[in-house]
Amino acid sequence: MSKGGKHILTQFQRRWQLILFTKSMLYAFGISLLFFVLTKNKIISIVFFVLIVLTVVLFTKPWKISLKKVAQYIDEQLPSMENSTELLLMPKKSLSMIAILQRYKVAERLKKDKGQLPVRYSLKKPLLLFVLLGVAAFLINYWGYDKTNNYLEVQPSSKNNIVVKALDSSLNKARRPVVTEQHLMIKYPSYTMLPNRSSTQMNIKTLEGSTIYWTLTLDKKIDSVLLEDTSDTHTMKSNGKVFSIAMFLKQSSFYNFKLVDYDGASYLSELYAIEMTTDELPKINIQGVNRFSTFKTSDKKRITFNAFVSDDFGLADAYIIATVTKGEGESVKFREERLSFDTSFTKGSKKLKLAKTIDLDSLQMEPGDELYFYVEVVDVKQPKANRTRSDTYFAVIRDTTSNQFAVESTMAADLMPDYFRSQRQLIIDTEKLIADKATISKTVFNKASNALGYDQKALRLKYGQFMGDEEDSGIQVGLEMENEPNENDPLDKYTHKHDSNNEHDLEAHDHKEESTNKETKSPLDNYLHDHDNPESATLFTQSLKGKLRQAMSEMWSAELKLRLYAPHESLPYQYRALNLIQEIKNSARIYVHRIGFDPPPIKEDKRLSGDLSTINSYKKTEEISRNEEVAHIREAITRLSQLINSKTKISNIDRRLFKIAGNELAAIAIDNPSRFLHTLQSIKWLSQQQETSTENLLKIQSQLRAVVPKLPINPTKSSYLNSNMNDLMLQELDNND
Amino acid sequence: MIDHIFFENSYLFWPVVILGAILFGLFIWKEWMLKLDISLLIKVFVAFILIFSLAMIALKPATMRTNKEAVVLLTKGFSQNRLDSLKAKHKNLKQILYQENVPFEETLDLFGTIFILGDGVATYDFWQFNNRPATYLGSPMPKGITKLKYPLENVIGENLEINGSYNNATKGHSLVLQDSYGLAIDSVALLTDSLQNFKLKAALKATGKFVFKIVEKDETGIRVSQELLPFKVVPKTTFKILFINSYPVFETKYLKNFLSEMAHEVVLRTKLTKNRYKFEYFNYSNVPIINLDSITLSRFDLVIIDDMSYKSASKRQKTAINNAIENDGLGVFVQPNYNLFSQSNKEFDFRFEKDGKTKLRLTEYGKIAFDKFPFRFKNRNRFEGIHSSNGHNYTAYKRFKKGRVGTSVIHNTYQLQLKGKTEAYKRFWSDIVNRLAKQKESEVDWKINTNISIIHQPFKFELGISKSNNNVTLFNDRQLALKQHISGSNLWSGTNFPSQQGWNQIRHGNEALDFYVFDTLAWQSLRTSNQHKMNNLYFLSSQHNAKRQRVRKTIPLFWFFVVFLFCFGYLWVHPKFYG
Repeated sequence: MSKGGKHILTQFQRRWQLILFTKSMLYAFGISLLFFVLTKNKIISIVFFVLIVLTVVLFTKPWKISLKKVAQYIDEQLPSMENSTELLLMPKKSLSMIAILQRYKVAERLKKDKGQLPVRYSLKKPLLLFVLLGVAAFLINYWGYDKTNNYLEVQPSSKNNIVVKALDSSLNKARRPVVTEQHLMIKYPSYTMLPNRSSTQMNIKTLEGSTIYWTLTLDKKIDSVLLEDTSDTHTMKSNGKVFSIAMFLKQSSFYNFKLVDYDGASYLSELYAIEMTTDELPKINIQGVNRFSTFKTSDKKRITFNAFVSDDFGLADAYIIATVTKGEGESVKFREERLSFDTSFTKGSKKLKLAKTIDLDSLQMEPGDELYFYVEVVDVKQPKANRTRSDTYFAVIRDTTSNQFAVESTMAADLMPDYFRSQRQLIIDTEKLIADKATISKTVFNKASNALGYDQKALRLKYGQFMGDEEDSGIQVGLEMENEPNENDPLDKYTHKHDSNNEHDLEAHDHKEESTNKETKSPLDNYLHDHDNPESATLFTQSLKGKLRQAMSEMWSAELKLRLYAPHESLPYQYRALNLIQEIKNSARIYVHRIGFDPPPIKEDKRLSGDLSTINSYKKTEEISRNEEVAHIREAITRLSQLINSKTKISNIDRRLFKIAGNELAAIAIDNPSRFLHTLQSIKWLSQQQETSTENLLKIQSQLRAVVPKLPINPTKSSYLNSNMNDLMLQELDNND
Repeated sequence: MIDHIFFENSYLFWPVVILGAILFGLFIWKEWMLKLDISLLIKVFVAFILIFSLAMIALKPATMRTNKEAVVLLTKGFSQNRLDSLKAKHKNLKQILYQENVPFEETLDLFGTIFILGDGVATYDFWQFNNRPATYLGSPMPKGITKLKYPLENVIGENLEINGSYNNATKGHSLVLQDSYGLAIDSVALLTDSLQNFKLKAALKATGKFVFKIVEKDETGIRVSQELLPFKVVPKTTFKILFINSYPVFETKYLKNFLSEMAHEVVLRTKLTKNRYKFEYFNYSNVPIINLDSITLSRFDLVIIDDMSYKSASKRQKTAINNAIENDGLGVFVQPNYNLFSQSNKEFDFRFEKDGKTKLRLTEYGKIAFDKFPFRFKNRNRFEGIHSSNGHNYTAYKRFKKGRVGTSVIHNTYQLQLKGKTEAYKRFWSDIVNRLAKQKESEVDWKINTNISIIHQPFKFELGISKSNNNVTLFNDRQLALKQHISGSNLWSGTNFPSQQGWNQIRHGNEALDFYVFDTLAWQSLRTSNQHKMNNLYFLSSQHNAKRQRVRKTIPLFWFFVVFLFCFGYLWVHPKFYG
């Protein structure tokens, strides 16, 4: 039972403490609420709140309320307790019998009377205060607390309000319409999937192709509201006091509102900037492939790569354009194919990793064919999508069979005789023979070497023809040909036998006429300007002849070594011969290039006759007008200086000038709106007003002056006084010279 | 000490002497008739004294005396130390406090020596010191801008260049050139604590009348002082230029492009063959040019001609060109080539000497090297240089009456353009065209004699008029009185007392002189410094330099009158006692 009594005491103690806490909270909340309404400052209000709570708590000290104090309080309040409540707190053992009895009695009474216990600290007062403060705060907030007008004007929120100024400053301020509400909505192009954006801020920065909706609510009905931008003036649709307009954004510009009331008085708003951003081009990053890839016929001809593509508003398509070229020179053929990526493409995604493996075989590419490909990405922009192309990548299947030699490409025809090509082939064959020496028998090797010696001889004899040597000046080629049957030649399949007479015979059908006169006609007849004397042939100059002779002697030596079955020793001679022939060929090219201009024939009868009757003087007239971009701004500065000095009113002509100057400035300002907006606004005002302060004129003049560039250096006339004194002085100077 | 006696009424000397002699003669004759004794001799003597006194009263005798008394005129800003030293040297030194525009010459006459201490007297009070011994002792230069030089009238596109000196500068301060509204254009830091020269620059971008400011700021950027800088920007005028070439050259091609792009009227005549020409007209809408006669030439300000074209011109054409130069003021620039430098070339009066150098650097063009022929102008009196270096002329001209003929040893300037040095190219040719071409004849030439005009203070100006005219009237808000110069009937001068601050104007017909009127506090340091200079100049001139030791003193006539009365009394009383 006694436990029960003590429990009641503890309960009462807690309740007491809670009430004290609640009290401090109520005070603090009420006061800080009012404070917040007055200052609109959250942080200070919260700090204020915490401070008040702490102060009240420190003042009331709820933690000091002990059970003993509670017991004393109960003793005071309830006489039925007979000042014995404290007994409940004492340990039973320490009590006498009577005390124990009394304790029981008190516990019972306390249980019974606990409802009658009055709370020492009532919450009535704090509650009342809280309610009062709350009501006060609400009322203040409702009617609007207006500390001072100045204070409100510097509030950042109020700065956004459109403030209109009357063009005629003499107008009664009360008549001035006030924009009570302003609203701006930007509707982005549908492809961007961006939600519409609303704002009360009138300076706009948005995406190309957006539609902008303005809605202005005024405090009274007026005649019209115009939206003036740099190029045009648009009338806003009126619906009572609400005016609205929509515009499709095509370019960056500046705009302002002009309000016209029923009396014809105009009011102008500040100037706002519309800055247009453009949709970015898609980006492509290709990884895993070299710019040039070459494949052998035997390789696995596959190209694998990854393309990382991205765009700011989503991708519409990505594909590979592959072009396969077949053949060479004039016979080249192109085939274009559009390939899609192996990875699936999700339309509208902003970032993708696409993979592709191109199998050259599946494109039916053969050795010597080339593949060019690039990746193209298209974004979702409408109406005209942005496209980006990657760099071009190349893949070639190497053609080992093709002949690398080519005569200079600028020559219209390949005029070089076939003979010149063979020395290189001989070298290749000789080198091959040396390389194969270990694998073949000595007889075969010797035979092959001898055969090469024969080829070398044939080549030498053909060059001899260029020199005008007799064909039979060396060993008879034809005779030996018969001794060496073709079938047995082990080098047959390696030898390129354009050089042999036999080859010539086989291809005789190509030039029948030639073959009939073979013995008598030189194969160079077509190319030579031969005046019957081989020594005076004009094809080669003296030094060329010497070179050719040297080449032939090198060939002699090479043939000798080959005949001696020492092909490796013949190689240096062969190389020297090849170099010499190469030099001769290069000289020949220069000769070919020298053919050129044929001057028209001179009319001998007109020559040196001095007849100028058909020759006329020539006249040319040109107006080079210097169109300066800022000519009107300069003019405006001059006019402003006149206005400042004479203190006259701004006339209509001036206003027109300022308007044109404003347009010139706007053209400059579009690239850098933030720098020029203020100036632009000032001059805009000036183009509408009649009167303004000298200070303002000076300011605008200064701003304009800063905008215009310096003029280039240019001579100018100076003036002098033409008086008789000057004449006298000049006369004196002349006399004393 | 009496050195000399002279009469103030010296013009009466002879009449008085004759009258006195007659009077004396009459007296002796009258006395002679009575009796001749000792008393007669006494009477004659007394009568002589009497007549002498009377004559003296009429002639007012005066003496020259040395006056050792000194006076010091204390003007604004005088130094107490100097005054104390002066006092120590001159006992009984009198002090007068200077007040502007108050006559004090009579006071000055009482003293043998006049010292002036402080910033000096105003120029309009100088007259009071004419023929008076005055020494200007001056005072230290004031702090601030003490020298300032900038053109009051400028041409658009050029730079406004302000040169000046700042006395007693404060290290760390800076001078900022601001436009009318206060936007900084140029600035210079004051680096020393003594005198510092400065230069400020602003591009002139528009025509009109402007008032810029020179503001002194301290280290923290706070304005210490501010002075106004008024100036006028006038528009450019274009030239009419004729090119005559006997064959096309690059120099002409580029020069023609430059000039025509700058809106000048340019006409080219390039010879194609005998009597056949290529005519090119740029911005030129007038009558076509066919012949080089006086009418054609009168339309142009400058002819740019090559040596060969001039040589091959007919005698008549040459006469027309020479007449246009001498009488119309036509300018001629001869495009140089090697023939021009040969000794035998007598077409033009140029004289060259070989210097062997083919490259030239001109100081005002920095590091740019110009190509030149290995010649330079011989230094002769009548040649005025346009481009000079180290005392030698490389582009020069000579005046022929009204006109000028010039040439240059510099060539291939078009290569400057090709090298991207367009600025230098434009400047080079602008210099030549500006100096050679015919100038505009103006009817009126104004000259301002008051550097800084202050409200309600005299503003002095001179006016030159092209045609002699005895009826010159000037107006600002009312008609101004003018004084014609003694030596020339078309030179006039006048003084105006501007009554309003800011831009003022004086008009003569259509021509006007614009000048800016400052308040009384403007440009204190500069005005004081100018006043120092003016005072030094004025008081150093010989009339003040020779200290006048002696002053004139009239002998009081009272004593002569007393003597006269006594003599008169004696002559009257004597017969009464002894008669």
